[in-house]
Amino acid sequence: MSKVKIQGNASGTGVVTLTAPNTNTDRTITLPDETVSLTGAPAGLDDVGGVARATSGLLFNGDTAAANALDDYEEGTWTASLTGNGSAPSTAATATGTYTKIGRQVTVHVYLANKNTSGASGEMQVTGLPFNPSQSTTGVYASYGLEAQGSFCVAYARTSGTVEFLEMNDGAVWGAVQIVAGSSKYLDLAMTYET
Amino acid sequence: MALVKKTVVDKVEVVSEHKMVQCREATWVEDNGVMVGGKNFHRHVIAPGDDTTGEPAETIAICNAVHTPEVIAAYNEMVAAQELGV
Repeated sequence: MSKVKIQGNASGTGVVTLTAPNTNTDRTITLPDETVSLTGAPAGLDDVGGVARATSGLLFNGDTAAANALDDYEEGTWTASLTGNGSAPSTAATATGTYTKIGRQVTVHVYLANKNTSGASGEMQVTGLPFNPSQSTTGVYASYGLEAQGSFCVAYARTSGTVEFLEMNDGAVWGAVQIVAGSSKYLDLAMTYET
Repeated sequence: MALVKKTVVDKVEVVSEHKMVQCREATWVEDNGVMVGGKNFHRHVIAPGDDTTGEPAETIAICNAVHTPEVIAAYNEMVAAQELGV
């Protein structure tokens, strides 16, 4: 015949509490045929206010390669500055963007609306990325008042930490989009790059 | 009840051969010393030779330590090379 044994710690004063469920239906705890502990979070996980925190990352589907561990996730904001590499606008043209970092991959977005770029000259740039790109990466953007003459343009994040804007012309080398000085400039930028 | 908004630079990382200094600023609210809600993060990167005016003393110290004249020169060379080609 099975028995139920509850044994207190000789040096402790803790109380074991069993609380009935708030229902008229019986609830059952079935124990495996081995010694188990019902206390504490599973190995590798911390309970932080009800949120599970992996102490060293997550692996999926039986994988054991540490390089594949999902070891970082972060959301936040960054301050983007629209400028030129020749000179900056007389008044800084900035906006707050968002970022999401998943592992080594960072996705950023920012919308610079109704900015005044008077005083700026040279190649158009956006500075202030939240993480430094480990390699050059392309992204997409839409603009108003900052149009280039090329047939197709992309944003281009450099390892220097600066986003430039390249235009592709048929049969010619890529060109750099030049900033247009003046008021009422709009630029919406989104890109994903690796750190 | 005393609500206090706190902002600190809680993470500074030096990355890449060019010693880019990545800074994370955390902002949160405390109610009598207990954090309410979660933290919000704002990030920026300090490249060699960048102006560090307004940065916390610890961050400036790190930049001064890693952004040596040689590192700044190498970074500027890379930027110049990238501006010449794609």
